[in-house]
Amino acid sequence: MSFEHKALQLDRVSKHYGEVRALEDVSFELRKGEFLTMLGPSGSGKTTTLRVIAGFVEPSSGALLIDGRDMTGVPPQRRNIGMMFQDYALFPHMTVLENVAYPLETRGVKRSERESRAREMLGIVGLGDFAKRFPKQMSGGQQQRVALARALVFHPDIVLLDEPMAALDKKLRGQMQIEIMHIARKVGATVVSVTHDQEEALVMSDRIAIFRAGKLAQIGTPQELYTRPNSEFVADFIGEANLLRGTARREGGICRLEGAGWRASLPGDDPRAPAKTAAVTVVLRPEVIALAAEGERPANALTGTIEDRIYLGVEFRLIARLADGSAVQVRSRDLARISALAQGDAVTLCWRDEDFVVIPG
Amino acid sequence: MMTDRLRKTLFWAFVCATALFLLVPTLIIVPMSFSAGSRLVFPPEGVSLRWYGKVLSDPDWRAALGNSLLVGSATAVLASALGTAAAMMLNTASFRGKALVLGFLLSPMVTPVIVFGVGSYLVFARWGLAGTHAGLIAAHTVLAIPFVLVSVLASLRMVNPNLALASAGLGASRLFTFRRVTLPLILPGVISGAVFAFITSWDEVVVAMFVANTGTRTVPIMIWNQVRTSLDPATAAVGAILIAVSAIGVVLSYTLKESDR
Amino acid sequence: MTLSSPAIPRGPTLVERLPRGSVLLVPALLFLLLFYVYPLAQLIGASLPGGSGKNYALIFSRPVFLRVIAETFRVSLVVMAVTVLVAFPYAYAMANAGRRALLFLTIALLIPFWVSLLLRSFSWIVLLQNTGLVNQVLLGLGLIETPLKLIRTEIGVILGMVHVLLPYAVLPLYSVMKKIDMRLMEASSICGASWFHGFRRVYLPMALPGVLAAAILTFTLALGFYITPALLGSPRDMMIAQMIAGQFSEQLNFGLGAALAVVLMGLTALAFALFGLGRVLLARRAAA
Repeated sequence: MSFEHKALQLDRVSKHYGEVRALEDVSFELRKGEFLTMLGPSGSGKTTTLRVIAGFVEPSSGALLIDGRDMTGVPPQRRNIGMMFQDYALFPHMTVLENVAYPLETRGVKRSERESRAREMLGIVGLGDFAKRFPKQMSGGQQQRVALARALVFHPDIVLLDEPMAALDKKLRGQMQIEIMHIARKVGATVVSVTHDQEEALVMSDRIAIFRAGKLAQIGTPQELYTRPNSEFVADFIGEANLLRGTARREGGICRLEGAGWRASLPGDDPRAPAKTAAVTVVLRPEVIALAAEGERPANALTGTIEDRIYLGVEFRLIARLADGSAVQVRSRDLARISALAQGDAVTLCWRDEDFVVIPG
Repeated sequence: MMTDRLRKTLFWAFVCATALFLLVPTLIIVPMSFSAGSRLVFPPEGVSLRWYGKVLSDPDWRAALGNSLLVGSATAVLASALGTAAAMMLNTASFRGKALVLGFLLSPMVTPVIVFGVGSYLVFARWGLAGTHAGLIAAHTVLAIPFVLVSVLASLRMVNPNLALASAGLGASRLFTFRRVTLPLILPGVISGAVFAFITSWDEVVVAMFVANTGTRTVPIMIWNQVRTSLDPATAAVGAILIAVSAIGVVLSYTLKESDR
Repeated sequence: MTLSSPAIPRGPTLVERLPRGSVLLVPALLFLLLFYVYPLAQLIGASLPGGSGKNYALIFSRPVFLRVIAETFRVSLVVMAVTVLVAFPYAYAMANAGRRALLFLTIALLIPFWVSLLLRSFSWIVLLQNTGLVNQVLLGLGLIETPLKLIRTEIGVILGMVHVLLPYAVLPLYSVMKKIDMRLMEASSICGASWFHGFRRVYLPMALPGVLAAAILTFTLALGFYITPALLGSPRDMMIAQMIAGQFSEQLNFGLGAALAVVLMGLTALAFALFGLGRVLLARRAAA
């Protein structure tokens, strides 16, 4: 196996502004060509992390390595990073071509070569015919492509995207998410993106880093985060989640979990099973819950009454009220049986052993 | 290669030096005016009020102070009235050539004062306004109108135009609306315009030089004549008085604007 | 309109065509016509006695006048350059300062604005005279051995004029600079540009309208300066305003003085026209 540096390494990076801890002990690594999205509510530290990587913010402690090189004291202009700013920060007095050629200009590439390379990059982002325009003569989506071309044209070690979709209208977002991902893959860029939009993170990323209150809450592939969240916060932030509160206790070789109106069990050797009696929260995605068959007594089940039944074309959304008053959301395609239910009916819902997550507390 | 920190330090050192360059020659008159010595030097030789005493007991200086106050006040009133009315119209109406009209009304700011001064000198002699307070007031009003205009236009822009419409809708006449709605809202702007108009006249020397005579000469003219013959701490004392009066005006109008927020 | 009224459309009368509230504008316009435009027009009349242009012929043929005009231009250009160069960092500091620094810089800028130009020239005399503070400091530091002659020299005039004109340059620069998005400089640096490269290629072009406004304002105002050069300069490098004043108060040659005044007015107007042209060119480039 050949030895290769990680494209990016953060090792216990912290940033304090006086008493305010904007960033606390953030560590993660990125492979070459990977697309990482930092996701979190505003003020969670994701943007600070991005600015630390860019070199606009000097961390209070910790180390940042790009391609194995320590970046302490290295100014932004010598980091070989491309960045797409939130509202693009295109130079208004330069043409599109000049904007895209600018990173080459600063690197001393001679005019003819930088123009041909900038044109080539404009072609890749689909703006081959717009070289002579000025940024303000272009639509928001086109400006975004220009910004992307400017961030990619010099084959940077890392590309940073700061809220890439924030300035676009909703319709355009879905399209640009896929397009940016494809372009990044095509040129083999290593990308770190920042967003507060979970859908965007799911669509674009190889991995997602979830931030909360200056700390890295969890990092993993979208599937990992969805199916194996390590906290209520992550479970709630990615997708929809039903949170059932109760207790777990050992009973022979089995771990039994129980709460008001629900029960579940795990084999004693399952990694999810707590070692001893403890308060737990069970995370259930709406689509893993099903109606129990008539007369069946499933091992993982909850009982409640139908509060609402909403028809959404391909599926129903069912809201059931548990004994303790909490609500559980279900998404089901079992159209025939659900159609037969009425408000106030008692139901038993069930799920498979492997489809739930146990979080302590 | 210059580091970031060194560049920042040099930059701020330069900016602070510029601030000192602005302030020192402006304010140095004040300490010098309290000199006890009879030479005009810095640092002053001792501390006393003798030059203030001398100036305030001198009939010529007292007459000049009186002239300056009279001309300045009248200019402030006249320029505010003319300027405010014009600003009211320019704020609401939109018509072709509006920029031209505004440019014309503001142009006394950039017309060389010497040109305006000698022009007034020619005309006023024929009109019998030479050497009169009225002539001086008229000329200073021309110079002051732009300041009133700028100040009042700025505060009119802050007033919601719907308020005047609402007032009209409630049956108020335009004059009533102006008196009860618009004027109270733009009063800070009018007052600061008036203060600026007063200071414009209070400090003005070139036009006054050509329009005033010995009977109507203002403080700046006295200073001008003094400075050209000898450097005298009495001049510094007069200067300090000029600065004090301007400062009172500026602070007054600033406080009014702040309390209005 | 009633049914019986004739169907001839009547255009608005002249009065109706006037914008609403025009009456409010009339007093100010009349006042300026009478006390501002008329005197300036009279000046033009006086410069052409009996319709003869001999005063202008004199001005443009005698070296003494041409020298004064050239001198006025030269001093104004130097003053403009120095003022804009000093004002640029100051305005930049204001545009990027925190609240308290901005307050201090604004106060430092506006205090001189509201203190009489005459008094400030007077202060400069006191500061620059042989026994003045500047010479004392230089002597004290051992930088010079005998006092420098600073008043009645061009250095004195330039210092005094720059001091007066600095706020006029800083304010237009500041109003342009505070609108420049500093993230563009971040974008420039992440694109690999050194601070200087970004300044030259990104910041300066965006600040250019402010530089142009500051330059033209200081230049045109400098052309007409009278008090400062009269008090701080030597009679040898007289500026045109001093010569105008001299024609009226000493030579009593009103026709010639009026012609010189018209020339000064023309030069000022010309400078402003050039400024307008520059702005148009800038705007066209931005819209190209």
